[in-house]
Amino acid sequence: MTRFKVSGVQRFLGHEPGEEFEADLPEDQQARAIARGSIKVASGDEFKGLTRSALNELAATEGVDSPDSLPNIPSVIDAIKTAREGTDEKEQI
Amino acid sequence: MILKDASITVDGVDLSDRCLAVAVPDQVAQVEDTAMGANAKTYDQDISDPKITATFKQDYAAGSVHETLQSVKDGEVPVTVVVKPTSAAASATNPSFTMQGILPAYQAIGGSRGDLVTVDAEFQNADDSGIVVGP
Repeated sequence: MTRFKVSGVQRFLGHEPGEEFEADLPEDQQARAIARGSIKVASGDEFKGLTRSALNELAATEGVDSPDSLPNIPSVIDAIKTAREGTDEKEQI
Repeated sequence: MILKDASITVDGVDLSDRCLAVAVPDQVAQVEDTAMGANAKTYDQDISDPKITATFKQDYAAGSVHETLQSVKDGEVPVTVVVKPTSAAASATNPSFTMQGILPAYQAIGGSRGDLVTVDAEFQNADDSGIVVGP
């Protein structure tokens, strides 16, 4: 089960815009829905089940310096989110 | 009944509040087979040609009419289209009409100055089960 958030302006599978829900969507439907902005993976849930090494790799691709030096998994996740926020701000500028 | 709260969901997206008209025609083509000596025409039935048609107010917001219909048309794979007489849960008195449909054509914009931009969508059946009436 993946946790999603309705990010579009229309209800999705009976869920209101802004509402979070858990579902096992067919892969192609999920891809279409995310691509058109109907839903997005709820924040935090995308890291669920990832191992420390997988998180380290992800962090490195997001521009986190030396993620393996961070003390624990939550700190790696925080670092990834911080790196993404920085990227978003640069894109806005 | 008066149609004022019909529900249409396309690939999971509830587009009811953008829908101006909806129909679920399930036509069966007829083939005339009147033979010599008959006093009245007779017909045989061909296979059915189910479809779901709808007219929407255009909306380019994320996940709304344009994004949904464009992705269905571009995806070229069947998606689930569900129509109900009212927005209430499907029941014996509020049946759901469900079809696996494709959208071969989509016009993102059209109209004259001052017109409400509307989109006509005709979902064609893509599954042998045709239109399944629920619940």
